[in-house]
Amino acid sequence: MNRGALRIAGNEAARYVRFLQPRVLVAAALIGLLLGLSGPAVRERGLHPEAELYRVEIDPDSPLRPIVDSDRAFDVTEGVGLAFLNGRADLSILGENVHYRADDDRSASAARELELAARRWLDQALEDETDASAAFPIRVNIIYEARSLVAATPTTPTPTPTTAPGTNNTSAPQSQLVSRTGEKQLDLRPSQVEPPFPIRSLLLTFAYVVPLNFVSQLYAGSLLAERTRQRGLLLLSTPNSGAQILLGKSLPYVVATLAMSIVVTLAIHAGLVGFLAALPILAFGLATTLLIGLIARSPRELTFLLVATTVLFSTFLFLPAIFTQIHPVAFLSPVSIIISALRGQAITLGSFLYATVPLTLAALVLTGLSVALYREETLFAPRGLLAKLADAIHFRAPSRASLVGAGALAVPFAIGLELFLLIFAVTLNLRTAFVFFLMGGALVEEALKGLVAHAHITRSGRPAPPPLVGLLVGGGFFLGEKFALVFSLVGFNLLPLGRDALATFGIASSALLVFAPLLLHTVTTTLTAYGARRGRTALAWCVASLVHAAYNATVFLLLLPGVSL
Amino acid sequence: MLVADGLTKSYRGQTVASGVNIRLEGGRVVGLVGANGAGKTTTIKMLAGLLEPTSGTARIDGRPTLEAAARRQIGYLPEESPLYDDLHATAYLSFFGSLYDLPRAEIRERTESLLTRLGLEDRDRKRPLGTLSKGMRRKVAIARCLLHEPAVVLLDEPTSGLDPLTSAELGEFVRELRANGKAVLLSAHNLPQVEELCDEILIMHLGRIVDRGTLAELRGRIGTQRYRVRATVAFPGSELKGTVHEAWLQALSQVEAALEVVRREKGIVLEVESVPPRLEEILRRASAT
Repeated sequence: MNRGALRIAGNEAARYVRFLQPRVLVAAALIGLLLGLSGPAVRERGLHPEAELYRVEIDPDSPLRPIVDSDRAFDVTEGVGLAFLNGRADLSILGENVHYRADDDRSASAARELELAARRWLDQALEDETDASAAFPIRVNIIYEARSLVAATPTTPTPTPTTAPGTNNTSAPQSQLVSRTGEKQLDLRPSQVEPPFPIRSLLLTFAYVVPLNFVSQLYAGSLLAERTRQRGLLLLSTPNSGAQILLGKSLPYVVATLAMSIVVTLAIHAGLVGFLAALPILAFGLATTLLIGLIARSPRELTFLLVATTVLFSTFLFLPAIFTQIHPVAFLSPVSIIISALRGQAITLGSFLYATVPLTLAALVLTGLSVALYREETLFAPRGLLAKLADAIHFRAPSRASLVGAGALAVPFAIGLELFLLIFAVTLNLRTAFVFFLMGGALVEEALKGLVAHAHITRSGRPAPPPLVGLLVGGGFFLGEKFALVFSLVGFNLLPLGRDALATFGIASSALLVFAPLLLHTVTTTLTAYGARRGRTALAWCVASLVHAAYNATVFLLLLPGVSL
Repeated sequence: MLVADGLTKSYRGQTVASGVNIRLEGGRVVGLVGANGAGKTTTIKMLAGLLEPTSGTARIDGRPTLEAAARRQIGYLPEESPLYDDLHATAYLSFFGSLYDLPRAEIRERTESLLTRLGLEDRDRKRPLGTLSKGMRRKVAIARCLLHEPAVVLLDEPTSGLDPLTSAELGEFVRELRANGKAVLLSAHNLPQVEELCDEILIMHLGRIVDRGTLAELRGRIGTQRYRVRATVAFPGSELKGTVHEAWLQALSQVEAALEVVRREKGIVLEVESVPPRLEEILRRASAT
């Protein structure tokens, strides 16, 4: 690695070490000492801030005594109501009767706590009952089953739900198509019935994302300061390239993120697979932060972009993962892989690649674009976000031939964004989901190709004619799609929708449509290129998206004759 | 030696610098003057290898300044002093010295020598840069630009916003750089300083170098010599200032006519002073053509 990059990394890391002035260290040491001293006591007794919150006066013969004793919130004294009458107790229990002061919030609160304590005590008593059938006469077996997005597929048999004799099945099958059985919950008491959401694993997975957000804030802030205060200019004037400077600036944050993710992996026992699945998440998070740090024009814009991307990215990661045990759509997110790893479930290579490759490719492309922006010309110019992206794209793809590659590299983003749309689509009803997805997919693809075309037309000194731009960018995108075909089919096959489509139409027949997308991409990108030449990129993008959506609708209707829009 | 040949920079069809030719040789100070937006900073950035020219080249000893190795020979001082506010001067210079692969001992030695020469006191060297005055910050920035002992020094408004004393100190320092054989390009709005320091002056207007030469050559070509005549009696064009009649005249014939009138009126000619054109006037005229 370049020495200059290491020195920049050292200086970047030293900024945080310098923050650790003696007084900060002394304060940290004092806090550590206090925690150390209180640790044994806390371990022994536990942390119970609610302990002895309410004073209860109780008749020594009251049958409610065990309930009061079971709750730490009560400070119990024996008596027949004198303390209560003198205001020295919040509750008075005489036999089975509980007395509280209705006009006293504290006393009323104590009564409510007693009610809750009684319920808990009763539940525990039933738990401890040796005759479980007497305690819980009803027991439930639940088997969750995957549901098809397609209303009817006669070729697929409907399995008979398995119900233990003498039990009730609370989950009736919702459709005729069952292809993958979810996790079983057997021999449960009604109070134990839970939806099959891997809540615990999901929460554990957050441990990867939370530190990433802190690192991102510091990372992006440092990049922005380098630009707004023009300090990057001096770094660029040294014998170090923009890429080396960025590497140096990024290294401490990458190392910190990796170190934290290793700690998290060990702490939550996610294993090697979980760690490997977390890497694309971290890479994409850092790459997005890098790009935002280089295009945001002010701290306010930086905060807005960071928050927006964090929310959207978290949605992309966690929303599908909720369905890890239910629906294959969950494997659109690497978090599902981590959850499966946490639960000790087998993960196929196809699922792993499906969840991680698009994100990894997207992270690489974003990093490449960021490096292209670390130049005097683009680093300090207060230009709009899209203008800077166009600058970066044109820098990376300055020639006509390179437009093919740029078109192809838009594919991982298209896949990622379309998967994002699909996540929302699965929550809608079938018809709305189709329309939403067909239109959304068209908008996404045309935006990505259109951005490449726009960058060439508006940034190149001698731009190619729009039809040629359309052919090169659209062709590149088409090639990228075909390159991802095997990979896509793996993913497509995971989805009931894709399975149904392939079963109905067949891969071989689908191949008939191989050249139709090439024509589509060429035509629609040509439209956007013409728009860019006339300074009407946005309008042209809308028109191109409509054409694309019409094409999508036609193809889907061909693939799925049973579906009407 | 740094040679720029036909440097042109365009941003989206708008040309900011066009066909700029510059030659910077050791032991000479070249001044670059022009109004705001004339293209001086863009030109300096292209010379420093920070901006890629749309066309043309800037080479130092035959090597394009865009190459990292060539930038080792260039010291660049931007118009602002973007420092790391939490660092103190010595640590700041140490960091930048390391980016030029200078050995630690050499960095220490040069830091000490430069900061001493620039008059930065010991106690100021240990203060965070964010707490220093503008003049001191500028001195630290200059020290950074010279730390690696570059052959070519590009100074963009080195005295901008500084008080006259600090400004004069830095002027003296530029003279020393010339004496030490450095090739210096000085871009400044402080025109009297440019007149004083520069061996050659380039006048930039709308992205082009519209004239160049020594101050004398520029005066000969562009400016107008003026004459101040003071006498005890009135003469054509004179104004009474206190008890003395005074006039600024543009041509020798006017001076002769004035002297003739004074003689005729039995007055006394107190002073006839020949005043060469100021750089400001030369710049104004060159920019107007």
